[in-house]
Amino acid sequence: MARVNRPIEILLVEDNPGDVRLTQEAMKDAKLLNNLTVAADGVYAMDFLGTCLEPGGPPLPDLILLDLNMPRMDGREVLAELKIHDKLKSIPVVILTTSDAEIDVISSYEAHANCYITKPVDLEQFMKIVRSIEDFWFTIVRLPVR
Amino acid sequence: MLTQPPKLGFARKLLILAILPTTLAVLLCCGALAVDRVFAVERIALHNLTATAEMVAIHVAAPMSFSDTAAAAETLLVLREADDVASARLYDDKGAVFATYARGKKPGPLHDAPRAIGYETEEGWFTLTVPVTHKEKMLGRLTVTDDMGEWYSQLRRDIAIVVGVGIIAFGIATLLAVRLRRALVRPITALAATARDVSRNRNYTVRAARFSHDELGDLTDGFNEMLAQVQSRDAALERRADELASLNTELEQFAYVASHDLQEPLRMVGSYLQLIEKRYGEKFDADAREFIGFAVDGAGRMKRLITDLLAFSRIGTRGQVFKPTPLGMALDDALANLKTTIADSGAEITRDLLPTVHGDQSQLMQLFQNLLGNALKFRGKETPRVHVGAVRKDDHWQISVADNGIGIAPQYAERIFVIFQRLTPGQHPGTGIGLAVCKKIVERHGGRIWVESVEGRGATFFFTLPDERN
Repeated sequence: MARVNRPIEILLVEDNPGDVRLTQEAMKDAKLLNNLTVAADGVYAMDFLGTCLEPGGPPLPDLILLDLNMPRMDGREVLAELKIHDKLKSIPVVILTTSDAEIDVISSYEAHANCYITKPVDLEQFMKIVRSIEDFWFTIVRLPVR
Repeated sequence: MLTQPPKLGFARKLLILAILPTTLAVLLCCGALAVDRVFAVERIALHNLTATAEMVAIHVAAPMSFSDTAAAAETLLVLREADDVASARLYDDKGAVFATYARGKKPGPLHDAPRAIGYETEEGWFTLTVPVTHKEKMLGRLTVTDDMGEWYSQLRRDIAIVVGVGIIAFGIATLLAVRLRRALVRPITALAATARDVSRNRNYTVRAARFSHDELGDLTDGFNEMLAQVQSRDAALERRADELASLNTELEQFAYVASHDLQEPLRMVGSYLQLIEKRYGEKFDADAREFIGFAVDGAGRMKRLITDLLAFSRIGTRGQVFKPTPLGMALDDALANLKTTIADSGAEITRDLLPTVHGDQSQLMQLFQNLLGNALKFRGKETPRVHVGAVRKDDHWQISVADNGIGIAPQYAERIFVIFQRLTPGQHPGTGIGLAVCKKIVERHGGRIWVESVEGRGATFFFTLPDERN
């Protein structure tokens, strides 16, 4: 699989600093060179994506890891806005949340989330999941070339 | 429950009550009057005739003493004034006819021989004979004949009037009674109709209409007051039920949200403890590693408790709508989930033909899975044998799950269904949620669950479920 020789861009939308740090730790061990940008809630995330679309702005993320329950603008709203946006709707969105409520799973897929993952309590499992996300989205599937 | 009221019965009874005494009184009065008239007619006739005869006898005494026949006949003509006198004849002291009077129309019979003093009746004629005296000397006799037909037709007229008055009185009494009956029956029928409406539709907002200011009106008022009390009590009960329902929902919501939100910080505790262990583990001594081990283990157990609590609270809040569910299919699904456990234990699982019930398929599957899981977990030394049975009882099904495991001492038969209660924490893993979940599922389905067991000789769990039709 042909890859552009640049670090992969990941946007993590997560309000819990503990989870942010855990994700960062897991990414440190990742096989691929990656660039993790963190947005503390939906508003920051949308602002960041806005600057990406401006000329000379930072590159658009290749993948968005999105938490559901956040202050100000939650993951559901972010997902809804992303999926109606012409330039953003092709970015895969992974819902990464503590909620395992059936209603959250169903409504996320209905809003065109690309996958839904419940955060495990166990650290090893969490690491494994983050590595699986990276493996799946950046070595197995083929993403649109920007 | 009120049956169709005997409306006519009551109305007819009232009518009879109102008319019967009047009718009886009128009949008795008329009868007495008629009998009296019948008996009185002869008496009155005799009295009238006697007065007339005696008066005439006085007036003819003078002509008779002078043997003046013409004057006597002249005197007898006075009788023309008395309508009822049909004829009269005077006899002298030797018994010969002295003078005669006969009225123009329908004259009475005339006898040639003198009659005995006194009265007699013959063929509708009434004859009275009186002596004619002058200074206590008997001069002769006067016989006066009266036409009884006149009297009888008078009597018939009288009776006709009495009967007529009776009929009119009966008619008026009936009319009044019907009117009165309507006034009496209407409030009662209205009351009965309201009572029927209340009991049939459980509608306590209706009120019976009041028609009068008498005892019936008071009865209606009393009934309405009673209804108002029932209504307010009913409303209070409904409010209470609503409060309880919303309180229950709130509690379940609380348990759900609490356990959900507890997971987040718990994940932090567990994950970062593990991260510390992973990154700095080599720098720790044995004690520190043991301490961290306890902490991680504690976090893990708490996570399981929270997950179970969440599952428990979801039975009430996240249940599916009930629909006809074949229990056999629910059992199949449960067995599929337990496939590995069953294979590992070599358990034999048998079953009766299971019915279709009205319920939540996934919860019924969970129910079987928990009971079968327990049957295998609390096994004895022998190969586990589990039988799932079904017995029809009145309006519900009684399902049983019988095993040959370690059983339960009778004193714990109730406690095992309480959340997080465990009897053998050291020997068997688990949080103690399984049977509490079973109980909640069964109760949500309107049934009950219990256990019968002899310690060391297996346990049989029973639960009831309403059948598909209910």
